[in-house]
Amino acid sequence: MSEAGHLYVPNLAVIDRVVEETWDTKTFRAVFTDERIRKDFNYHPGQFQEVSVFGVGEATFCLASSPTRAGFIEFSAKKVGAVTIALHELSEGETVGIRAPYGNWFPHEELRGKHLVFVGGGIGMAPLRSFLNFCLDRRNDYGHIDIFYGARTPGDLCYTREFDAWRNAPDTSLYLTVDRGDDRWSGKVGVVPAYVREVAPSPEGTVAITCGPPIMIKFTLPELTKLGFTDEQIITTLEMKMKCGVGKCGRCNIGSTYVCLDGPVFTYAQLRQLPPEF
Amino acid sequence: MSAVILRKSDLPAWARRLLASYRVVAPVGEGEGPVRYQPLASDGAVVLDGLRPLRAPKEHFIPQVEPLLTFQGSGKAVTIEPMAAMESATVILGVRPCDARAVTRLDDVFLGRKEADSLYEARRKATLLVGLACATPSWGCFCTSVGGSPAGTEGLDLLLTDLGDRYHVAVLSGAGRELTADPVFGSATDADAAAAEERHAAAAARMPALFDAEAVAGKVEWEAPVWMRHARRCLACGACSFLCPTCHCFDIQDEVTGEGGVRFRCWDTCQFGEFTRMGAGHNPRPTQTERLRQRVSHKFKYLVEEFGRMGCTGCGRCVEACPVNIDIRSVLREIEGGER
Repeated sequence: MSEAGHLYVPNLAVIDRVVEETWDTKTFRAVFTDERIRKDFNYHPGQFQEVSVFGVGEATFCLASSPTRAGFIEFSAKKVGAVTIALHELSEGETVGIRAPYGNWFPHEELRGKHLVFVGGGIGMAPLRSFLNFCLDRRNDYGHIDIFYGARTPGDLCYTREFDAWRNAPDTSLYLTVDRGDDRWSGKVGVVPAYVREVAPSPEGTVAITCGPPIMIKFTLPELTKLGFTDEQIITTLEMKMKCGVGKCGRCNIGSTYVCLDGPVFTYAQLRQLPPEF
Repeated sequence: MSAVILRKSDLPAWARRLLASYRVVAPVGEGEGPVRYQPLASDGAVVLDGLRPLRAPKEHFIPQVEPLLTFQGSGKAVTIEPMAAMESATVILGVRPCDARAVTRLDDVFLGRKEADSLYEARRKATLLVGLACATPSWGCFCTSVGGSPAGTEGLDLLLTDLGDRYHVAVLSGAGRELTADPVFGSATDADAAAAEERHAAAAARMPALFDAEAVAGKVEWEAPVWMRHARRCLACGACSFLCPTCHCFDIQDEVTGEGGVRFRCWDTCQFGEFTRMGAGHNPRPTQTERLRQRVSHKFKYLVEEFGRMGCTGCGRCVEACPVNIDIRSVLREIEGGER
């Protein structure tokens, strides 16, 4: 948390690496300027942050890095609005503000010993990547890991440089698919929910963790249910417009639930209790 | 509860003495214009009589625009300077019971929900509220329908009741007692107390409860024609929220000035379409129907679920200010009556 005074003061951080993931998405690696914060900063996979470009504003991003890899944090930004456009203009060595970590997280302790099925689509892979890399760094804590990841085209897949590490990790399977292939794509073509149905991971001792565009989530949930996953065995993370991140600005509520404080991670069972406004 | 008496002719003298130790905020008229809560000038001239001021003293606790920090520089050489919390001791005079009660609802959000907002907390702790019992409810008022009263004391340190040439002053807190440690205050008799009671009852009698707000909370439905019926004429101007003493939502924005700039927060409202629209375009509340449902449900259902008390004190400003006559009392009556 911030040193100085109030809830809305970010810590300064320097962007020390920018990776172009796709034509419209970049991943930024940020290192806190203050050495003590750099050393003490800790978080859980699934938590989020408010990133500011001074003079443009703040926007909300999940922490895409894993806390097992200390010294820096990462976030991926698709170019969609004022702040993300400004972020895309930044070069290495420039300063941003970061307020973090906020919100709840993937229940990594409760999930120890379980098999995990990650189902991600597009930029929705960002929070899953945090937890996935966390699990791979503590490989013995978790059972079999299936990773389903899809995007519209091969050029829309993020984190491609990590695919080999994911695929080659012990007892781990990577299932990539794209809606539309291209000349160089020799992999699967089709939507994520269909691939999940085809591979049919067993729900026995398993938890599915999903994040992606609403349309993907909408069609993935019934597939998981048909495979025998209960609502408690499906975990997702919600995206909502936020400003403060700390339960004051009144923007991210779904009924009396505040996504910034009570979420962003929910089980499907919890989501079914909420008004359908997300 | 003890009480004292303040002669009306002594009010400016008391206000001037308060000014020696406090910043005093009170209803002040602007010529022919509206009466608003403003810092008092040194002459101690106060407009305590008349209808409730145009705006609630909410802006004292959550300013319409509040700087959060300044920033300077670029590249690696960026520095930021957070704004310090303002802690100057303040007395707000002439607070209507509905507005004082509303401050306790702001407390729920800004002092509660995990972490306190220290900027708000500093102002709140340094501020005393001196209320004035409402003698003449305005046409939009409905405090008695939401568990309040024209002489309610919730959130107040003192409550003044107009007895003609003098005020009956109910002392409601230790801090309030200290404010009355002044030679202008005399002792109140049983007859004064009875007269104050009579005034309170007369004001309440002018405002019979229109609905049972607690019953409404249990009847708020997600899918109901009542939302669209009222929302279809909404202009999304946000007047209801900005004048509301409990609406607290804000936006955070940066403003650039030369080499640096300022980050500030400013009032915002769930009635604006952009409020929940995400960067990539998805908006969970795409039309005014969802936005009206949010505003009403938030006040009468969600906050009850969260804090056990509703986020409306019946001040009636939203009713009176709405340019298209959306009347939240009608919305609530229809919900209560099962009219959907």
